[in-house]
Amino acid sequence: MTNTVKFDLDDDDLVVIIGSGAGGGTVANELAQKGVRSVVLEAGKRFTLEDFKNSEWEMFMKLSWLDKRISAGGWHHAKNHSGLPAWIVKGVGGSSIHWAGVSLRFKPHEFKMKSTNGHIEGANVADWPISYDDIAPYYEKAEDKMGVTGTKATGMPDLPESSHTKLHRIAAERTGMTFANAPMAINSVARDGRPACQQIGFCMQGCRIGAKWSTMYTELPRAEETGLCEIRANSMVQKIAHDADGRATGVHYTDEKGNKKFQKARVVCVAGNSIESPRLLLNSASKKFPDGLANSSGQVGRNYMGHVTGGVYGVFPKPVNMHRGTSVPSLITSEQRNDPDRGFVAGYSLEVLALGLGFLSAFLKPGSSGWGREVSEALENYQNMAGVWICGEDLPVENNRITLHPTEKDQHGLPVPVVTKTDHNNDLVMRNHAYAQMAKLYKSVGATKLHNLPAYPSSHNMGTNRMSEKASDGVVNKWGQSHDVPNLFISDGSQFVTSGAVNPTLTIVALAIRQAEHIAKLVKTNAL
Amino acid sequence: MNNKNSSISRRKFLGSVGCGVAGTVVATTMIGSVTASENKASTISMPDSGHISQTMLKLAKDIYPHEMLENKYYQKIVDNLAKQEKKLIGEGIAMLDQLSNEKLGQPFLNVGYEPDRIRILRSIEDNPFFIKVRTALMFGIYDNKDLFHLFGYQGSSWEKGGYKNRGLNELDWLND
Repeated sequence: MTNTVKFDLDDDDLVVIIGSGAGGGTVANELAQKGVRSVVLEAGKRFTLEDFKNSEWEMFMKLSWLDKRISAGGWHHAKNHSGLPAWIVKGVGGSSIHWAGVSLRFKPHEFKMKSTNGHIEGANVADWPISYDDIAPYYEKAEDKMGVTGTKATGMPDLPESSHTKLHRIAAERTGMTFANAPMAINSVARDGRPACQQIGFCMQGCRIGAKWSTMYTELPRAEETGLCEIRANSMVQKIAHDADGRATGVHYTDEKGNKKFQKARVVCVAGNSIESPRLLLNSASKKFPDGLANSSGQVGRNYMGHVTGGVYGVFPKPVNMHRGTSVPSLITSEQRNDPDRGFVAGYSLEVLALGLGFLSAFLKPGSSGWGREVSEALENYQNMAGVWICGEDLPVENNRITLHPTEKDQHGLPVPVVTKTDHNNDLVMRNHAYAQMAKLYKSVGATKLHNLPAYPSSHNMGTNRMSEKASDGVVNKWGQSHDVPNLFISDGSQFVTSGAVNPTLTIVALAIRQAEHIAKLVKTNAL
Repeated sequence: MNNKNSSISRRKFLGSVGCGVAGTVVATTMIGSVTASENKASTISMPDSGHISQTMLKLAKDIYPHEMLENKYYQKIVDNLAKQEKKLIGEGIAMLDQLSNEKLGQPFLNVGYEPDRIRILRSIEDNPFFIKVRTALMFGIYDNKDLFHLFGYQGSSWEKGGYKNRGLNELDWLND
């Protein structure tokens, strides 16, 4: 893959996109298809499909964002994952290389959690400034673009049933829970120049054959092919600059050779994921914006959400071989509803999730006490295990936030991010409810033992530059456009107001398509 | 890391733990911060290598006990670690023996009663020495493709065409 175009650093008519994952990569291609020129600055390097091995830890080391970060607060990560608050990717394609492909839409009520449940003590819940109806057409476009199975947009059939799925389907039938094949952005038939899934497994280690959608080999090369988009890998942005009027003028970054550069810009789109995006705005503080760029609301970095998660792995009398096939083949959807009678607001999905032996050995009982007979005996039953991952709505809490460390610096001399999070009581009640439901589910198909796993470092990171109707309540408006800096946009999951009971990628892509349409309109009418 | 050992054993070690740096990164990012220990052992004289090797085997089998796993697999992992981290491991074993002598009147290797050994190990599970040994074992056993089959795990599958036509759905003990 070669760059087809190189733009000048002094070209001030470009959209500069920071980050190349689901958000940034989609914005780049959508703009390119509409004739708008852009430069994508990506901190990570380029990978090829041949780099993707079916090996969990090898790929963890190869793909993960391992720059220094610190976990703080009341969550167990502060002790057990002290340097890895989140599990995301550093590379061209971002975390769309790592995502499992689960493509669920938010439900209509999930855009209106404030009006649905009223004020919740200790949380900072708000309604989105957009409704389900506003985003629905873009969900359909996203499903078509990404190739999501079982949707009207593609007409693609579901992926075939695996043993892992069969066990959950029968358990759901026996317990009256609702089972669903997962809508996956993984080709069940050859489509759009990509092959059909071979049920290899290792979806989260980079899809070896490219059957799973990733901007790495869809949006980004397509944007490049137009000759209107330049992707600069190994380019870490340090600071967004602005003029006296408070408009963004360009970005300071370190290029692949370690040289400091300044790229001028007409528009800046920030899509570095929910830790790096607010970190960049905070690091861009200036005399005019002493609390950080675009931060007149004080909400930059706040309301950090992952999902309410955990895992449940059951041991069964006979083999399941959960590792055979896609990592997330199916779902239990009965608890997605908002039903405060359960003792908590919002809902959760139960997503069937295969872990390999390597990851299971680390996550079964994370932390320094995760050794001994309990662990080794569990792992001897690997073949007979099945498991789910809990994906529950995490409430926005103001003090769950990204801040800059006062003294610690990264390899570029920038203050490292501190990710502070403490579970809201709602999270604890929800998680326990999920553990209880899973026990019911797994006992119905003969589980002999259950292992409840605490949360893993999250790949779902949301909320730290949230949308709001009023400038005082959030960082960006309903287009992801900064309330304070008109030519600055947030193009990733950090613009989420709430987290929903579903994986964020489909919504990130739908918002990115919608945002790119808006930016193109503004650019073409000289309104930006 | 010490690079005095031959490149062959180094490579073998890397092979057995999957990825050399992984051990260190995972120990600090995934397992937790390696806090500075109140390591009193630096004043203690180093145990001989035979004793270290035997004690490490005992320790390894207490950390991840598997009847199905022959001693040689444990031994290889811990001996390679002891070669690479001579000081940390030597001092760690000395500390372990000191603790064992204080509590049970004999070196760790001679403690026959498993719950006694586990109690001592639980008390040092946050110690950098213990974390290092545990991490090496975690990679050496569970991220070791030579041992996957013992656990019913099949590892890499893309080169075999995945499972689409190779046992994707053969669960037959549960029926609708």
